[in-house]
Amino acid sequence: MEKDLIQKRREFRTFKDFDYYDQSSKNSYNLMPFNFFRLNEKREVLINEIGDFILAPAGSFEKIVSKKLSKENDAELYADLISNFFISEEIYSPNIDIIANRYRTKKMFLESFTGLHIFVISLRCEHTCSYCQVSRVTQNKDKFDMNISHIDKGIDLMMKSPNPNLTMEFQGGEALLAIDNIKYAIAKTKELAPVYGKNINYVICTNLALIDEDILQYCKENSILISASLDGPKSVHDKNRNKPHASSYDLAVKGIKLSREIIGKENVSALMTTTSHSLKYPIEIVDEYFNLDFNGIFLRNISPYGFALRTQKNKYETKEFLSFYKKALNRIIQLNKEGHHFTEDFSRILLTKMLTPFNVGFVDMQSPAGLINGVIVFNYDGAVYATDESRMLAEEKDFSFKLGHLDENSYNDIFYGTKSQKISQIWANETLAGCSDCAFQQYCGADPVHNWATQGDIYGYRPTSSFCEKNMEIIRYLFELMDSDKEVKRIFENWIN
Amino acid sequence: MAQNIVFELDSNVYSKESIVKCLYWYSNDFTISIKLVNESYNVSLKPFTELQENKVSEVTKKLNREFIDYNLRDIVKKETNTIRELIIAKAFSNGEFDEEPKGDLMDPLGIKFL
Repeated sequence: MEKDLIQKRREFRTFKDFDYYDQSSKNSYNLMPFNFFRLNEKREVLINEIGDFILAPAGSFEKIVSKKLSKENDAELYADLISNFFISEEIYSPNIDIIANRYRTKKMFLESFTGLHIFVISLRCEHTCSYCQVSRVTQNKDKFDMNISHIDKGIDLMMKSPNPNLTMEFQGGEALLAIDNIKYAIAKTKELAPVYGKNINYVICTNLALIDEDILQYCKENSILISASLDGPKSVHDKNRNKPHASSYDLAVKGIKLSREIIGKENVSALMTTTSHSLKYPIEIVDEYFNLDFNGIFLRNISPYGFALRTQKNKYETKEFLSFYKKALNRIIQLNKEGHHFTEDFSRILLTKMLTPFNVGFVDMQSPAGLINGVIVFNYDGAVYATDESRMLAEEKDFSFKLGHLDENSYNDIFYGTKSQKISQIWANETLAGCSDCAFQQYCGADPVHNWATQGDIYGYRPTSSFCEKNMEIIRYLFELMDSDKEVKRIFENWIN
Repeated sequence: MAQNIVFELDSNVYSKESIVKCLYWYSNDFTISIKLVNESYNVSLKPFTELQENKVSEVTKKLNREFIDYNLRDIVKKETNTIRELIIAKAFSNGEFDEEPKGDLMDPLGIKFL
């Protein structure tokens, strides 16, 4: 009896022929929401509602949509489409709850609301960088440093965020010129954090010219991260970031080494800005970061508006940046092929969205947009702005994204007020002309501040948008690289693990 | 001298939405006119600045393909609109649209036969 039972169980568990599991009727299938993009003349990418993709020969989308795909003749593609929720053999896919869960995961960054709180602790700076609007403000501490009352009010607002995990970032000018105020702000925050149940990361953004052992010892004791500015090798960095009577590069490199010694390598990062001068040196810039033993580099274009572009020398076309970016990325891939782990961090953000079920709470590339949802800026004078770029616009007397003032407005006024509501109407790329039908929607974002600053319209106009041009081409290029070289795909997968 | 770029698209094949979405991307370089005449959309693009013949031919070829691409996208969008709305509604709900899984909760793989 028991022997028969075991035999029956074995028979039951044996995998049957493919036809046994076939759920389709009349060899037909139903479409699920998905889109496509032509990578080049020969290949295209199919992308579904949750960002999963299939690389396929050109013409596949037409074949699928016209219901010409054959289960027998196109067996591999057919199976990929079924298993990745692009098509379904039942009218109502039994996997809809899985897709909904995956979609929810992609939008999980919305659950916690504002995490990054930027305190522009001082507008003063001892550098005179060509692309920075704050560099000439060197005097008048009272006028250009954030006062204690505004620090207190900023911290109070930060504690009201529903997000339990916060980042308090000190920016300038040169933040270290106001180190006493930073110390005050961190002490006060540490006092209040347990009361409000907050976990807080602290970051100081600095050019490192003023860093010393005492400051770094303080950073170590208080678990503060250092985010430095480094534009590339000495010839590039010093040309971009002028410091009167000194080499900014020498001070930055010395500061990076000292910071790593005292607070640890993993707590020191660097950020570069690509000027028109930098465009000529993609390989040298990557090599500089690599030789300084960073794990990667964020190839960041100059903000295409405001003070940065007041002088002709900093203006460049998006196409020029893309050419620079591709040369630099290819150099990085070459380093990886030689056995080094070295990432490009903008690509890494996109690849996380493309290759994993997760999203990245990166302010510039999310929908709904990162402004207010992910970041808020308390300016040195007490004004509250939607993003870092918004306060830069304000330095040019454009207060379009000023949400309120620490002296005058409550949390609700600022985060849920009329201006925030107006911005919220156009902060999702799912609702924007040009974006709503874009195959790359899940990987990209909406940036009303960029639209306003470059086109004079917060809704934006995609055919001439540099934001759109840059992001679409980089995403297309990443797909093309993965499609044409399996080793590159493996390298990219390593970057996100 | 370059001439206008003209297309005649059968309204039984091409949707108005797909034509407009496609032409949106050309609206910075051309004055666009769309007219429905005898079940056909007559589309005309007049360049803001004069185009060389080879450029006209390039744009015509690209547009020809993009009208088809956008129409295909529109077919998917219309056919899957309900399911897309359902996915998003379920994703942002607090479980009120969730369903009990099919089958026996104590036997999720369906292998119990005694």
